[in-house]
Amino acid sequence: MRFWQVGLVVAAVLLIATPEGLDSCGIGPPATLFAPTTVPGDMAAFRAGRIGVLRRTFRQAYLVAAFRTVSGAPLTDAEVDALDPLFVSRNERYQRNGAFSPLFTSGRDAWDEQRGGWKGGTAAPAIEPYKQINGSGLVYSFPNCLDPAFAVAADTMKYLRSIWGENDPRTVDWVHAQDQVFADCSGTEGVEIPEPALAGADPLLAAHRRYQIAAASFYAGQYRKASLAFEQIAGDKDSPWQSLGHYLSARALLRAGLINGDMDAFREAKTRILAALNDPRDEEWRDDGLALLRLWQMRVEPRARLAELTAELMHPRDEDPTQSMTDFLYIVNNRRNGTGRAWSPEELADVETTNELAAWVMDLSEKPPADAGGRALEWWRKTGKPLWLIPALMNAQEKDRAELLAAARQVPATGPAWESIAYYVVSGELARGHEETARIWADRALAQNLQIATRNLILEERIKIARDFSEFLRSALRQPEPKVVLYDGFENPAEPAPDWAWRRVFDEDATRVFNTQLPLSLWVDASGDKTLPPNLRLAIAQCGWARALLLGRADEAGTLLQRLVELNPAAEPVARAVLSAQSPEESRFAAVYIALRDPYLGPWLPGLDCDSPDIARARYFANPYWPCRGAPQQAQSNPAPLPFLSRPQQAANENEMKQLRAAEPWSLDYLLKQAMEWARSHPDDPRVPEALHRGVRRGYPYGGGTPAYGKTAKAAFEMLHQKYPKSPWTAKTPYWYN
Amino acid sequence: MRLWPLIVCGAAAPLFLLRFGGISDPLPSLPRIMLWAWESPQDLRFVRPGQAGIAFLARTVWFDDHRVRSRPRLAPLRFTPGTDLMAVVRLESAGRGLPPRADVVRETMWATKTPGIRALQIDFDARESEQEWFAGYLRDLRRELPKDLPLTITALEYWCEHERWIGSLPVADATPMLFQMGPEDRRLPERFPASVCRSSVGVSMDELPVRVPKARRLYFFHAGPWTREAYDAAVAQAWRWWR
Repeated sequence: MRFWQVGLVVAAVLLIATPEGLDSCGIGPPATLFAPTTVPGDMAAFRAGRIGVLRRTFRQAYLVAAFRTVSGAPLTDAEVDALDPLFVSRNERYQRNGAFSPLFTSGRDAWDEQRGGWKGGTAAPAIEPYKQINGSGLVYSFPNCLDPAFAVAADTMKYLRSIWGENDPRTVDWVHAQDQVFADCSGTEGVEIPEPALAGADPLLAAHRRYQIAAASFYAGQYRKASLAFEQIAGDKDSPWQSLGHYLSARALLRAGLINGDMDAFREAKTRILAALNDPRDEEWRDDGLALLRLWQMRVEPRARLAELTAELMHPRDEDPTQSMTDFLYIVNNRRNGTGRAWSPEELADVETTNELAAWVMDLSEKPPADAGGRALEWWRKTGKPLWLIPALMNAQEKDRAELLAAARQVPATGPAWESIAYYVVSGELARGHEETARIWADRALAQNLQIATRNLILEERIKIARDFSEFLRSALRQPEPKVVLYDGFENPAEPAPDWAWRRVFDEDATRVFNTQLPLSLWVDASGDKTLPPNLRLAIAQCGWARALLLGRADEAGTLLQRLVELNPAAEPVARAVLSAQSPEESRFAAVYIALRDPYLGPWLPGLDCDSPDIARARYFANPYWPCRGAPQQAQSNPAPLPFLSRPQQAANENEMKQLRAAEPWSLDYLLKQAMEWARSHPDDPRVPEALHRGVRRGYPYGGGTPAYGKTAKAAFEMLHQKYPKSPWTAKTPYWYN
Repeated sequence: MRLWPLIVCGAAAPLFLLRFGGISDPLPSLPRIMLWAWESPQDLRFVRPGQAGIAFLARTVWFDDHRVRSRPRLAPLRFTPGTDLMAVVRLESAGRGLPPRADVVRETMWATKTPGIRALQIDFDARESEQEWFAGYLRDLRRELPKDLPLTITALEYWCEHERWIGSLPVADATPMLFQMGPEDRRLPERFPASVCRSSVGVSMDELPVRVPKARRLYFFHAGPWTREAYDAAVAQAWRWWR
């Protein structure tokens, strides 16, 4: 009888003291991941052949790497190092390299040093290397003056200063003309083309001026004119820029095509590129010329270039594969011909049937071809490679399911493609409503030594088809991926693995079910289920206790409180105060005291990255505005019924949810007033000073959340200082807070 | 003679309203919903002019104690002509000292070359040791900007709640960013003590808080490209908060 009274009163307190949606958590990186979406969970295992579950959202360089690995030609260490920019996020690269910025500006730095250090004339003007395009309803920019241009200009200036002198009119003339050239980078002040050198001018200055005029035309977007000027320089044996003439002439024509859409110029560019490559005087620029030729091919003959790139990427090479990989992925994602037209079905089919690597990446991409499933199946039939079952299953048509399942059964579980195959069988069968097949495959997979991310992904499917509560709990347990964390929106390597990575915890799917679909009776069962780790059982017991009190369920509250103490003996003193209360008022104060000490206490099971309640600990802050992992949204959602719940269990949960949703918002003001009321009638209770202190202190620095709190806090502050001047809690409370 | 108290009271009324009433909109020509469009290809042609505006990342400026480099937006931003645009400049300090303010102002000014922008917003998570420099930078920038171009900033929530320096900045509006607030908890006030922070708040679509302080204007951030669905959700959320 007494317990019933105690429970009722405590419930009344918590009903008021517990906010709707409170789970009292902050949002802060790094966040836990159970299965990364853009990178493999374990890069070392991935390279060693355990490719895990390949996902469409992976950075595509990993898809190429997986294909290489499974094909028996894994990436070499040098290739992995070189491809780093394609494997890791930009965010990670900055952090790893301690980079000043993503801009590589050594050329610009050199120019700024030269030009800034020159005292022969006007101060260095501001330079904007980018040109902005402003159309009707369109804004973007492109890098017009690339960094090497600044490096070349810096070298030239340094040389001319050394041979002509700092204040020589020729130096002055050259510098001012170069300022005009770089003003054209942005073109915000209009086109500036340097005047030709005067008749009789120094021949070297005149040669430089011709080059500057050509360069200014180039940056000003007068590409045809620039191409012609560079071509003339190529024929000028007295120009220091002769060897660059053909190359720059070709570049100007390429830009005419890329920027201005002058496709005739673009096609002409090939002639100039070949001229540059065939001219022995241009040997110095041969690699740059080849790069231009590849760019030209990629745009004009993408399918032919794709075949070349595939050959380059399929085998280990000494050359840096980054550009080849970038171009390869551009072509397979862009899927357009030289005129910008999307590949016709015939052209696409040609690539899909003749270029295995390209077909593989396209079929696993986020935008697979319409017939990706059928094509992948054809590749499987043709090659017998199990890895082709992955895209075949991902894109499967209904008519092929039986054949694919039969093929999947033949793949040994030790094979590199097996984890992906198992996952896509499970998810595919589940999506089609074939629960029994999905269950069989999932259980078979979970019996294997899976990678962490793979296990989590399969458990995520398996929990959907749990037949009873025990299966549900087994599927709910996950281990976070220890080697990757979510930081600032990016999936980055975690080095070293965070401490929490080794715990077994619930992911969001399980906490959502607990918070919104399980009746209290199952919380009680779960808190005593020894298959769950103690940390989870404790969390369930604490949140369940708060839930039981709010629901007025004294028996369950008592059971949960006992379990709570068993799991966390440090909570025994505060728990005992509740259990041994002699009157409703005393029990109310015991609950108020706990709520003031632990602002994280609430009826919602918190997510992994949240602070959990711990009634044995005393803390100050709670945040009703920022519940992590969306507990309020969970509480307001209406998920599909769980198949393993009986009708009475479902009905019980529905009733409980109505009561919980009706709970009043948190009120620190209310708790503090309750504490003061108890203090007036029981001034000798040793808990009183601490309760008053916590009620006041929790208002700092973010306030009490209600307008009335300020006055209450002041009254509590005065009570504390007047009635308990010697208490250490009073000494810790020098101010009150509004 | 008896009329003078009425006249005095009448004259003082607007002042009282300004002080104790609702905060007047510092950006009256801009819509109440603004979409932050960050550096990814953004096709926002589904936004009808007047219904929402676009605060697009126009430029990023990196700096340390002696170098300043910047880059404009490279990814295309598409919008319906007539949509209100705000250029946003993101400042990134390497945390190794601060350069002359004029160098950063110079790089910032490139962002104002975009035709048709209605305001400029500076986004800088200034460390405590950088706040004095930041205030000076904003004063210098304000002097350089056209007089009719409003200057605004994004603000860490903490600045708006606990720091006085923000109140002295020469900006029309400071938008507290109520997302990615770090591991410490925050209990948000009904309205921020700093009056410059009371006109707007910024939220992220993947971290929508249960409630936000009262604000006339809402900025919504969306990771990656905006979609029509995300935009509709933002508009619906805005009206829920304003109700």
